[in-house]
Amino acid sequence: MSAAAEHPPAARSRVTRAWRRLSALAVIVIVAVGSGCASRDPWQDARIESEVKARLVEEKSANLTRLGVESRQAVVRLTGTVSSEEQKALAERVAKSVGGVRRVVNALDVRPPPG
Amino acid sequence: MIAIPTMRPGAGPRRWLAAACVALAVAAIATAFVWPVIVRHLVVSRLESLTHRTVRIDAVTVNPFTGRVAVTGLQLFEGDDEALFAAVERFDARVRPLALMRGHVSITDAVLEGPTVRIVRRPDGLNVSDLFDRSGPGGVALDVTVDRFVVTRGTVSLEDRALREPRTWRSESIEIEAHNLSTLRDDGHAVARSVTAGAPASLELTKVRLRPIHLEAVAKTTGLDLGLARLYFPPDAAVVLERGRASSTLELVLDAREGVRATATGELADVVLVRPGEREPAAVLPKTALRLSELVYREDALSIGRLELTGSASVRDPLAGRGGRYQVSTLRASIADVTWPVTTPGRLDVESSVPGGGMVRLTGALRPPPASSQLRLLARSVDLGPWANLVPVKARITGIANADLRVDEPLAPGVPNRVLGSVAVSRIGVADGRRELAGAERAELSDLEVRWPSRLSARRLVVQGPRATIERSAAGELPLLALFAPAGPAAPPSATSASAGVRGASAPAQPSSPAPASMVLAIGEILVKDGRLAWRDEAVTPRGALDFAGVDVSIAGAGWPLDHSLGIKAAARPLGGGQVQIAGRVGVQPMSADLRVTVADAEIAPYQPYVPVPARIAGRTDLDVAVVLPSWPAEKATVRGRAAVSRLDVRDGERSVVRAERVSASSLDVDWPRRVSVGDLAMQRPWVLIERAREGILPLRVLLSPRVGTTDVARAPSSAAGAASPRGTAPGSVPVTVARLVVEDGGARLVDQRVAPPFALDMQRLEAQVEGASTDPAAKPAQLELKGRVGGTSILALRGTIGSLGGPLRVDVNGDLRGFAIPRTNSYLVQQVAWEAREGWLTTAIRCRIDGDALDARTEIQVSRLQLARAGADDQAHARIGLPLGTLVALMKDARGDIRVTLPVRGRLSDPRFDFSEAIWSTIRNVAVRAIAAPVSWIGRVRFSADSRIERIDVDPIPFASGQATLTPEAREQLARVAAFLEQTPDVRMALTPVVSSRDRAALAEASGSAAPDLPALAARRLEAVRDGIKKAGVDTGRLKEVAASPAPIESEGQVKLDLIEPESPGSPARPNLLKRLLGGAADVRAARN
Repeated sequence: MSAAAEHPPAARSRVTRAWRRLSALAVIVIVAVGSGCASRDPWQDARIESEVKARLVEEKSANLTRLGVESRQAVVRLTGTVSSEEQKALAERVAKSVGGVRRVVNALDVRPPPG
Repeated sequence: MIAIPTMRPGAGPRRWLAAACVALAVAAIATAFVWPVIVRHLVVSRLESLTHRTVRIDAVTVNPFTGRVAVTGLQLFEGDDEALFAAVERFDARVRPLALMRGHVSITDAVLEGPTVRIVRRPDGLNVSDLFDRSGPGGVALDVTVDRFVVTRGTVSLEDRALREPRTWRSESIEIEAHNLSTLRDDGHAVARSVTAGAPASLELTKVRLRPIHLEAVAKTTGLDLGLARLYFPPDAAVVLERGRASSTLELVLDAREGVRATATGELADVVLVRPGEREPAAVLPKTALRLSELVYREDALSIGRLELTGSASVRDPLAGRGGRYQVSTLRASIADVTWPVTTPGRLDVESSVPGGGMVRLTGALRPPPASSQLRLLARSVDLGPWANLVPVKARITGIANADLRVDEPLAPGVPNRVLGSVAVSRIGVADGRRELAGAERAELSDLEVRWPSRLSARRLVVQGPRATIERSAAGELPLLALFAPAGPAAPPSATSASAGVRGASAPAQPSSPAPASMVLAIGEILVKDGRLAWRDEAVTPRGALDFAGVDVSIAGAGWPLDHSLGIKAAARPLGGGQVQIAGRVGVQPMSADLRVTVADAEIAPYQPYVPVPARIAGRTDLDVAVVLPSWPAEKATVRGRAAVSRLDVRDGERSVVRAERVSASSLDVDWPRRVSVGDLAMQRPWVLIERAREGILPLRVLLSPRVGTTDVARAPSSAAGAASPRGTAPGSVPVTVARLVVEDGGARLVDQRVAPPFALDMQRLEAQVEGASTDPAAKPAQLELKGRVGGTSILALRGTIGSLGGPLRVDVNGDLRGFAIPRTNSYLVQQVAWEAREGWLTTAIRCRIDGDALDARTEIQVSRLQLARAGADDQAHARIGLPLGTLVALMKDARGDIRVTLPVRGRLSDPRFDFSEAIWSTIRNVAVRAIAAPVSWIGRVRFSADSRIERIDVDPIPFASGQATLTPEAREQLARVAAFLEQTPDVRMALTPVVSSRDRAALAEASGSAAPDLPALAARRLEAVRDGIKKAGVDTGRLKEVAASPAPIESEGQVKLDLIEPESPGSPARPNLLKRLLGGAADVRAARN
């Protein structure tokens, strides 16, 4: 007996619709949960960015005032140029010291000053 | 010759013969006794006639038969005091009588024993001068022949009474033996020896002929003491002969027709010259050779073929103190073709090594004035170091000198009138005793012309590779200039020297030939090539250090006095790269300038000590300006051109606070002190850090404020060098105009460390344009247009006008800020109102007008999706408006969750009662009250306190009939209003409190017959009815909070009381909102319940 024989067209249509709805619901749940995780606590990222920038500026012994700071899910990415490996490490330590920071991606370039 | 009278015999043959015999006998006897007396008398009279001196002779013996003549005790006296002039102990001679009778004086043997001659030199001449000046007796000269002539024990003394201290020199033991001396033959020869002043001397004569005189002589002297000549130096001579020995050989030919021809060689040994009053020798000549050739004296004319001197010397510098002695290893001097009277120029050739190294050679033709002499002085590799002390300055100057100088002038005593040539000095160094401060690879003065004492000129002075380190001490002094101040007087080497008063002995050091004040100096062109200059300044903090390399300078028309302007071209490479060029004219008296200054890519960081603000400024500058200083110190200047700074970096210690890719000003026009204008001021990629520190100060403001304690001494060296630095004109009083200011791709980071957590915000991609900015109060308002990004996502735009910065405040600006993320302001929200935003976007339009002190601002605000959470207890909004901020915001939101309000702010800034903060809060309160009054009026009313704050919001309850839980028409109507209100204010939450009254109790008791009716059930049913009614209206019931019924019935109608409650803080707003959007109300309800 074929499936078409076992299930009348109306029933088959209902099954199909149900599957479609479940599939869509699963996708929606996955996307929703995923996107919810991706954009979780954006105000915290704003706070982290602000605080990391302020802390970098506050470092008088190094020139970290212009570094780019971007926080995504409390993962801080540092960009820009510093003049030494020591300053690069210092910037990373400063970023890590801010509350809520989970991880620091140190993408700073080291370019010693000319002369 | 002695004439002997003859006797004539008497007459008569016998008698007369006898008488004659007797007479002859008598005569013979008489003659025998009288003859010597007569002869002596004749000799004495003849000698006195010849010499004009008194002559005494002890005895004269003449034998006319044998021809023998003997004279003893001959003495000649002279003067009034009858001083002895000459004496001869004995003179023996044998004359051939027969020859004499033929007129030939022939002496076979002549011996002069013990002759003594006393020569006296008086100030008016020698005592023997009269003997040579007086011509001899006339008449026919007899031939003379002396077969042998001998002088034994001769002595010649020379008394020199012309000296201050009369001295007597003696030549003793004179022994002469001569043969064949004759006027008829020329084979005579003689040998003479003596001891003169203690030194043996010899003279050998050959080929002697007495008349006309001819002889060849060889005179030798060995070890003659030259100290004898000391007394013959001029009394004011710089040096005198202390000691020395001379040995010489003179070969001489004397001929009556040919004159005197002589050659000589000699040697001076151990010659010591001293300065009067000093003990230490001024010069020592260990050995010096002399060679004289071709000396001819004939017919009162003297010529010298060549006089040559070679040797070495050791010379002491009188200014160098003890031990300052120089070795002249080679000294060679010659003079040739010298004649007197002068008929041909003498050829001079002097070559000498120079102490310390090098050679000097003087050659040329020498003529006595007024004829011109042509001399050439060549100096090769002369080391100036050993002569440094002769320069009357403190600096120690070293170098290797070369010179080629010519004189074509009559030689006058002292400095020649006109000297032409060139002088070059290599490896020049100027030191202060410890280290070298300046120097040059080479300096050459070409086409030098000295017209002493009026003019010194040169066509060109080329200084190759000069280097200098100019230091300024903390007191502002320049030690390098002090080095060229006149040196102090040298200490006298001895006490006696001071009294000697002799020039050059111990006099204080003075310039050897100081140029007269009226002397004109003129140098056609000064070229400085490839120089290096270092400036070290201890007078500023931090220590100033400027370095320039590749300094090339060209100065035209240099000289003194400088009554005209100089044409100057200069170029240099500052440390750190770049190029500086200056061209134009500079006047010195009075000081003025008309220059074009070009700077290309020069680092400005080294000038930091001269920037009057604490900020560290770095960057590379480009400058092309024309500078005109009319006259100094007129305090006027004009500067026109363009200027730019690239890679500008202004730092606070290590931190960059201002950066710019390039700042350029074109059409720069400074007319000091009238105005400063800039045509176009362009800023490319400027960036600034605007920070408020924990202490509340603005570090940028401190950095750009003048340093405390900045003094005049800290001005740049350029000002010390005469650059324009007008005094007495306050910079702020000069109007500054910028026709067009353009900012491209600008940025800023705003940081506030004073709030917690600290605030930081970036502004990016700022594009601004200002036209007509000025500090002139009469200027028109400037047009402003600005746009950029704030916080990464929001867009800021401003446009309008700004009045003169120097006049009253006039601002008319419209602006927009779109899509600003409100959570970025949480630092301030928490501090000001104890709330924080979890989400929300701000869009605002601002119009601000300020005219003097009148403020008229209007801000239209739209806040979207604002989510607040309480972050503290100090809710300023609650305190100032009367409602918690969360409630207030919830009430102000429209159905879409947006807040749209307009905030007008007006007032007078000069009013002492005007408080900007209070004005803002008052405006917010008014706006908030107006915003919530309308929706609240649907369901109740707003109650205000006496100070206009919101006291509470009363919501009309949902009434119920006694004992009933069904909605009455009146309840339905109220419920519809509440639902509409809740639908309009989606963030508002309400508390539902069922109230069961005594009437409800009575009605339930009556209906059920029970004395204890189920009142909680009635309350629950009423709540359910209200919730269902609201739910049916489409309102999320999750916003409703059920509150337990009051246990004590009240004497009123049953109802469900409604109260606005504070919205719940969003624990994690993003996910519920998204879930709500995706899954609909069920999820929304679940989320609310959770």
